[in-house]
Amino acid sequence: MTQPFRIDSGGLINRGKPLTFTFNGKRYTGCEGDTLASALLANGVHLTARSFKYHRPRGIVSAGPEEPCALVRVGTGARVRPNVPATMVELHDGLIAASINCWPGVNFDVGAINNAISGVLPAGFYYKTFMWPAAAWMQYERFIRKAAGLGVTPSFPDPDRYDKRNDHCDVLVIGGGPAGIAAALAAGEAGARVLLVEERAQLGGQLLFRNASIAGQPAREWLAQAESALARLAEVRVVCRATATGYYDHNLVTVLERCTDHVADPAAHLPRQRLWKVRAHRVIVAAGAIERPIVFGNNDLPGVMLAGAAQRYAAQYAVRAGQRAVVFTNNDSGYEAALALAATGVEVAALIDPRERPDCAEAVQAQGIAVMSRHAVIAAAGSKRVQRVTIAPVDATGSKLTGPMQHIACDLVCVSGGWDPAVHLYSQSGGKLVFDGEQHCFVPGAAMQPVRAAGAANGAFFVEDAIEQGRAAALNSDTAAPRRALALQPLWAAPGVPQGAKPFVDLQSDVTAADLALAAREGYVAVEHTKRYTTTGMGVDQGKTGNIIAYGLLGGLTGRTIPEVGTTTFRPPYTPVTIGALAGREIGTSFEPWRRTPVSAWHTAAGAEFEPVGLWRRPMYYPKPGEAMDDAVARECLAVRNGVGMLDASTLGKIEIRGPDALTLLNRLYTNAWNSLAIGRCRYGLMLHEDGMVFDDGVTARLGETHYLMSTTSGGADGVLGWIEDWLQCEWRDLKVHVTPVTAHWATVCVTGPHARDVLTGLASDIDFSGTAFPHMSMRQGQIAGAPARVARVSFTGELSYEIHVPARYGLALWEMLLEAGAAHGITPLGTEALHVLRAEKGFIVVGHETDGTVTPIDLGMQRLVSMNKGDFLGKRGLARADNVRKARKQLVGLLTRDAAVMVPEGSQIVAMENAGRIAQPPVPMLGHVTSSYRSPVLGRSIAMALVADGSNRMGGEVAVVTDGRVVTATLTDPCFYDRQGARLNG
Amino acid sequence: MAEHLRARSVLADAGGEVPRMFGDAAAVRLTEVPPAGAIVLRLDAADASALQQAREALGIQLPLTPNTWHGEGDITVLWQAYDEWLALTADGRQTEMAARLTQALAGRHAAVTDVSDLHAEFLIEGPVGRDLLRKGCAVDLHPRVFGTGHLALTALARVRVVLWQTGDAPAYRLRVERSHARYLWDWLADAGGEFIDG
Amino acid sequence: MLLIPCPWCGARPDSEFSAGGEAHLERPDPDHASDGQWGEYLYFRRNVKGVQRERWLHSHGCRRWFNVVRDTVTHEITAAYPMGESMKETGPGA
Repeated sequence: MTQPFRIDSGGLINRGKPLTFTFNGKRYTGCEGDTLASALLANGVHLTARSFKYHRPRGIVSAGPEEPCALVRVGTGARVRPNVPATMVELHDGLIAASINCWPGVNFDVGAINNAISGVLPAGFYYKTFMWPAAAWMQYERFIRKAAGLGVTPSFPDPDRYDKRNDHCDVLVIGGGPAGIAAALAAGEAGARVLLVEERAQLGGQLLFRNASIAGQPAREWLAQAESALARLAEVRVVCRATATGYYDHNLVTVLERCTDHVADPAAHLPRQRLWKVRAHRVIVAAGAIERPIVFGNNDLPGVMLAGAAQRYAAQYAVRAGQRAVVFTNNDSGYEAALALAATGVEVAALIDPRERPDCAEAVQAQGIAVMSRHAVIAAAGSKRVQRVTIAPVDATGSKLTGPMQHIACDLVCVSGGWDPAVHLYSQSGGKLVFDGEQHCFVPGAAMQPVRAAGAANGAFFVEDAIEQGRAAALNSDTAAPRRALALQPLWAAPGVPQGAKPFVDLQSDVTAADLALAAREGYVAVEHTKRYTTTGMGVDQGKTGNIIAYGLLGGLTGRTIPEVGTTTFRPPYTPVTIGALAGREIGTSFEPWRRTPVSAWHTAAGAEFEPVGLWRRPMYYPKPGEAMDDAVARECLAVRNGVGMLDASTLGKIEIRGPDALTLLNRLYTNAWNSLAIGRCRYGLMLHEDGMVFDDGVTARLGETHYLMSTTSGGADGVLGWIEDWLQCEWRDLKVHVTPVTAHWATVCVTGPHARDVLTGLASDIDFSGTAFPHMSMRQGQIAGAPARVARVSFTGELSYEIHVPARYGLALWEMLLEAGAAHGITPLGTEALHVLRAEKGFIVVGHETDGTVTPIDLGMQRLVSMNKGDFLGKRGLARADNVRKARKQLVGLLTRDAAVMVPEGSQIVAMENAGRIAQPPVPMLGHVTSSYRSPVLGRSIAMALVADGSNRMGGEVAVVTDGRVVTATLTDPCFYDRQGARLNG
Repeated sequence: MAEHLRARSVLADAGGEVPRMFGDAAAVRLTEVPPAGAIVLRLDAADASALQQAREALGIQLPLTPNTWHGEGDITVLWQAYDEWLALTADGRQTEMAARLTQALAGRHAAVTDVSDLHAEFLIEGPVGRDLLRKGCAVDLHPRVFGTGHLALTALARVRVVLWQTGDAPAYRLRVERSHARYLWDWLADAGGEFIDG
Repeated sequence: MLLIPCPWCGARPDSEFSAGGEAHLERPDPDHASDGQWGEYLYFRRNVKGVQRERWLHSHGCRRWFNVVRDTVTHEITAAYPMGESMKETGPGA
């Protein structure tokens, strides 16, 4: 084996399965079961990254998701993953990884100049320097992004598949350590549906590396038995490589499962990651605890590591993180780590403890390790790896040096400042946190949702206590399980740090104790403000190891206790989540649930260009080869004016209205009166919201005594149905009427143009299409070529028009039949753009063009459609409000540019024209804006519609349209530009 | 010119009439069900005699328990809301069914509407059918709480569906608005790829 | 993400619903309401911090409206009841 720091025996790695990987271009060998971090350490690689701001050399600090330093880039090309902690990357054959934040390489990094000039980069430097002038920010930002930052995201589309899954369970257990396993077992044995999620590749948590015994049984034996017991429970599911990332309302927990990240060559049909949305009746947070460091000078040197991490590397991965170690701890857990290191052949030069000598020192001393009580490590030294530490005696509180310094040579410093329960998810759930004054950490307090914490996540740092708590939580037992306390004397930062040795609080964001002190001096008191000013905890690790130290130091600087300082908010996600996993299948053509008509595929085959209308994608125009949009639209328009066109109108909303009170309903929904509508006839109506503003329009036909068919705009169908149901279900509960949406049941083709009737009479139908039998604004039912059909004679183009409805299954056949029947008349499919030109020529409004939620029917010049004497209707009272009866409101007008060739863009502002064709000096009062603007092929000029203040009294006058810096002169006219008498549609 | 308009499958793209199929039932199979006759019935469930008349006209009882369905012979009735049901029958019999119901309920606060072409219907069967559905459906389909005879009106992927369990294998049917059928089919086929393409 | 108890379909995620704002609003008599009263009805809502009654539509389910009693601070939902039931019948709350 070529791994010089691999221990010959023990651990949970498979020495029989060597894996080759590449780091920073160099090939190494690791073992199955390794993480990238453990494999690098096994090869003696400690320098893994450069830091965020100062580009200082950094190494591997932890063995878990809290890793602040060893962020790497994994993979290549489109599959590259930036900023992944090496501690959570499972090794696989062929893995390619590299350091981030360095150029040209991690060993020689140009950006390290920032370290040399760090004296001028204090807390808030960027804010102070770049706040003024504001316009220069864009320049500064470029510099900042280059100088400080993390890895580079790939610039290609993500080629991987991502999945989502909804899940439900009685008990969700987060964390597969002893507490979580015990909880899952107890809940499962009680018959509950249990989901146990574990972030790492295997269950066990601390049992994988701690030399514990459980009721006299070795931990790993207990673990094996528990795992097989879990496997026997049919309703218990265990998912590893699954991180609970967020805790939301009503016990919704998101879990990110990494399905194939650990596989060298995953099958293409498998998702790379899966985002679970778990709705649990109860949740047990057993997510363990995170060890905290103690701050001292140059505590960021590679080789300075958390004690528990060094212990895990030794016991789980069979890796010596160094040859000669110094352990620096303020609590008893450091002694266990020292023993574990010594047992794997690491020389432990000394154990430094600021406390009086604890009982557990004896066992350590028995291994020949020097225990130096009432001492602290105050600095480390070395260039790219720690070479020695400086220690000194301290007073009883660890706040002052009491004697001379001395140096100890070492290549590994194992630090333990205590343990912080992983309360992130518990806090996200709304649960309170309380400060445990004995173990000096935040622990879960009162819950807001059905959630409990257990084990180390609940401050139970001893294995048997954790198991007991897990069981109690699962059984929802009220008896507070007793737990032993971890003996600890708080020490956030060593005193007497020598000049020039930076003491880092947040290793990822490069925040030092001096930065916090500066912020405190400048008056920052609130923890949330200090966080943002100093950037403490704002890296991708979210300050999992550093935040608590910042609270402790801030408390000391401002004379407050930690509970008085408080914590920053624990926000989801707990660890970073791939954007692709959040997107899931909502990408590409499935980004929206696009709706299709029965003719959609034909449109595509015909080469149509589409535009979205609500969730529909409607053909906008059908270009012939070589034809530009304007040409195609003009051709389609002229075909309708001179011959015949056909339009897929299946998207129009259709609602069946049935019941004795149907007429009453229509009278209340629409502004006009409906009493006189005869069976077989149609009427156009406007719908208003209660404020009097138009929100939809359409034609409703009377099909029977108490039976109507309402049509709505294509985009408005759902809104109108919801509006009607709202009134029927909530306010007009006495009305005996039912509405049923039938939009997609019918395929609708509109045949329009002077030859429309000629086309229809060519069809096999029992409907009489003659002008006398079938007048404008009427509907007939019958059959067409064997299919049941409803035909409405209504017009949105101003030409003779029929809307033919057949059940959707016949829609494509009807379309094809009409193409054939109309061929002799040159029937031409038209898209929505031509339709809009044609209706604008007629001055017909489109809701959403001519209306924007502030426009009344009166504004639209549709007074005749408002019946003020038929009784109440929705919007009637709103129309009478003072502002809505105000004179000189914006009113709908037509707009003809003086130069017929000039087209003004929709949305252009309209201002008053002063004399001599000039506009006034700014500020110029706005008169209104252009709502629709087209080139009219039949008129051979541009036309536009606009909403203009007092427009009806300005007819014939000139206004100025300001567009793209130009001023266009235009005359206000009636909005109907073509066939004002309506002779063409009444034929 | 064709004498009769030709009916097309919901998923037919400018052509075929043959319903589509995806996967094999060893894991999961997704099938487009040929069209059925479908009637929306609106009725006041508190009106016992109206319920009785509807029952006589249909030949089977309307399910009154929310989230259930009931089928006999070639008629299936799906609960839709406290005053709404969807009655399915063999294609071609919907006009007659609607006429019978309309006649039986004349003069009542009721509405009968033929919606035979409003939806597409899919069949999902196979051992991992539940896992396929829960990729996009937030209803708990665990056999302890959802079994044959149960029904849910819910969202699947991003569209509204009626989903009902027809067998313990399990087998589910779902109806989705026809305009969304292609979106949902593509979505299901993509999601099902995990189980099929191995 | 809230879990909203539809009185008929059962508890479902809020993505299946549309919010309808404050419940039990009185529509003033349009023939007698002043502009001010109509303006109140159109635009003014109580925006309670605490227990609030609000309307929800199960738009992806049974498409029926109902009322919910929800604490806007904790998001706890203590009741859901059909339209037409009065506030009294459904217990305390603003």
